[in-house]
Amino acid sequence: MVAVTSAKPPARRVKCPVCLDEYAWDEREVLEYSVKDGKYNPARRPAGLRGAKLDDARRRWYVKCPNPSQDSANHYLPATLGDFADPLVVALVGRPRSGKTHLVVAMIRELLGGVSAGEHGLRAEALDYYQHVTFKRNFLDPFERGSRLPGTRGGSGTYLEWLVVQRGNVKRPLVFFDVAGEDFRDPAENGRHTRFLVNAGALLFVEDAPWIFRSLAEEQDLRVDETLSLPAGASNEWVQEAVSRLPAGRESLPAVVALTKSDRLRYMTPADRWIRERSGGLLSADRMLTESRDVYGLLHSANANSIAMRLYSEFQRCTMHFVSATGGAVAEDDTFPAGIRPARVLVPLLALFAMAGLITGPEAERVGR
Amino acid sequence: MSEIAASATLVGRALDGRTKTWEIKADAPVDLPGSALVTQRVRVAPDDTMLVRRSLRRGSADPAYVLLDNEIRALARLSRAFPNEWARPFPTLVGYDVDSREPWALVSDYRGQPAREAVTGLLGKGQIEFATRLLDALARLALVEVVHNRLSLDGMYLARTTLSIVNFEYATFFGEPPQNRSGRGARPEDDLLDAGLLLYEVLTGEPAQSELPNLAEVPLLRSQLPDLFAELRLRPSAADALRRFVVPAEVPVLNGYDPLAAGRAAFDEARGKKYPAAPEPAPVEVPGPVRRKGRWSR
Repeated sequence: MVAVTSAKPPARRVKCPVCLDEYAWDEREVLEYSVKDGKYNPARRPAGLRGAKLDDARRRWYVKCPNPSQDSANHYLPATLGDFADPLVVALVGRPRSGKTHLVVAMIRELLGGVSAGEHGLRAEALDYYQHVTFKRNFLDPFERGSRLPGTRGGSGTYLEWLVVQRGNVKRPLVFFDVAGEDFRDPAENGRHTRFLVNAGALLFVEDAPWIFRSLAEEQDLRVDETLSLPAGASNEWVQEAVSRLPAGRESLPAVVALTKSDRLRYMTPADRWIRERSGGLLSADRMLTESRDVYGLLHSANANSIAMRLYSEFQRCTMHFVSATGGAVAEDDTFPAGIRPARVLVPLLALFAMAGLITGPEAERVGR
Repeated sequence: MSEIAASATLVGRALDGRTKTWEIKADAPVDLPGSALVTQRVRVAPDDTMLVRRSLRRGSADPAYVLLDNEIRALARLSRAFPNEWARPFPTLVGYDVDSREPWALVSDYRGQPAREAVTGLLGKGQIEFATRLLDALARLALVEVVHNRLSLDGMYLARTTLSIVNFEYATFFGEPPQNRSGRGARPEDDLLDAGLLLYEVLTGEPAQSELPNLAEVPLLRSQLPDLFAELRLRPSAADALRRFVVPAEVPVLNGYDPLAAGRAAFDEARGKKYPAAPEPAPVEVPGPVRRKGRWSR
């Protein structure tokens, strides 16, 4: 076995999205992940591997992060990381069991081939091959089968999925972090598992409809989520804690508030209209503003102290949306009996993409203002 | 799900969104021509209140689910907007479940008999009352921005002169794409034309052969409601037609309370602080009744 030198010369400085260290990207020692061994080994490179075949092989190669600050466990980054600009880190923030995982899975599923993403000219592919394989096995496939996904396990501190998203000539890596809501308040880890917040380029705040409208909570919700028994006006300290971790200048970060599980509101005005709305591939800042106003109005009518309303004021560019990752409530057997019918899961991402510059143009400039 | 054979326990949500259980016993199936859904009367414990259960036929696919969803959505708006009127011209939504494999809706019982049979006995005042009730119903739909899209005698019931529109499978909100139509978003004027054609059928006993029927032999329509058949921009609203048709007319109104008004105002204030020079938020882009501009419709 010969450790190989990839075709790419040492490139530029990068920031690792996991440990947040910055260093010169060095792709000279590339590794392959062995499913059999469960570890990374020096990559093999047959003689003559060039061109498209080399590109294909590189998609499965990794580089061990040097983690100069030596403050993290070993972690490995896709070898193609150096081909792109630093990723846009999308941080999901919400209380435990607010539906973050189902939402981000539904969003990634949409990006990887959904009709709505296609209408908006968005294409995406996985950058981290084995992470994607794991993500598909653990999340996408059960989701497609209509199974309830496990809640995010605390303490991982790494990303859920790393995609390259393309729209027109703009190509941008996108990293999704989904950590357990409990991690935002876990003093034992001293914030290590949520430090991705320091590097966040876009914020996806998740507020769930049953938390706001307690009468809409299912018996299953109440069984697994004791916080739903708290008074409706209870503070959302998980989100407050996360916001406090954001770096200086945080108010200029693109932010959206997704009101998840809005299928519970599907027959209540104004959600009854929004939850069915199809954009038809058109990005409309006015529609997003009108929807934000409706979400805000609904939250205000239920609980004038909802943190989501404070988020709107705190972040300069912010939109609010009705979304449903699954389209329905889960049954007692942890399945979605009517199947999965995600509704409007792409819209918050479109807003973030517009505010973060992945979608460009005059209309995108107006989004969230 | 097909019809319930004997008895069943239904777990779903009431109109206010809360989970609720209904113990029901099967009663007679209802023949609702043109409906893709199963329609069955059921008796609900403990007092044997008669309701109508709407559900999907066994093996139905997504399109049928959408039809049930359409009906629940429209009736939810109507039932909330007009909660306490005995003579409201549509069933009240009692409960629903759309999360299970066998979704259903429970609505209040259809009063009277199928309109296609009943209208044959209408004469003179009865016909005028029927037209009045139909326009009243459409005025209520317009108040909550619902377009029926498929008005037909087959989807109506009549108790003496009290009309109920019972089938809302193709209902949409203003501006939404109607099922099985393409291009234009739904507008209340579409229902007005359908109402004109339906009244033509009731008054002549024959369905209209075109969307611009000869009204020479239909004096009631010719003299008072000819513009129901006019091009889209010239059609009256249901409320205007009702005011003209009945003097003095009792035109339905909403109670005027908007539970979101305070919240939307708070949003405007919060946004104004972030962007002092920002223009007012765009109004909700809901196409209301067509004003005197635009183009010919169908």
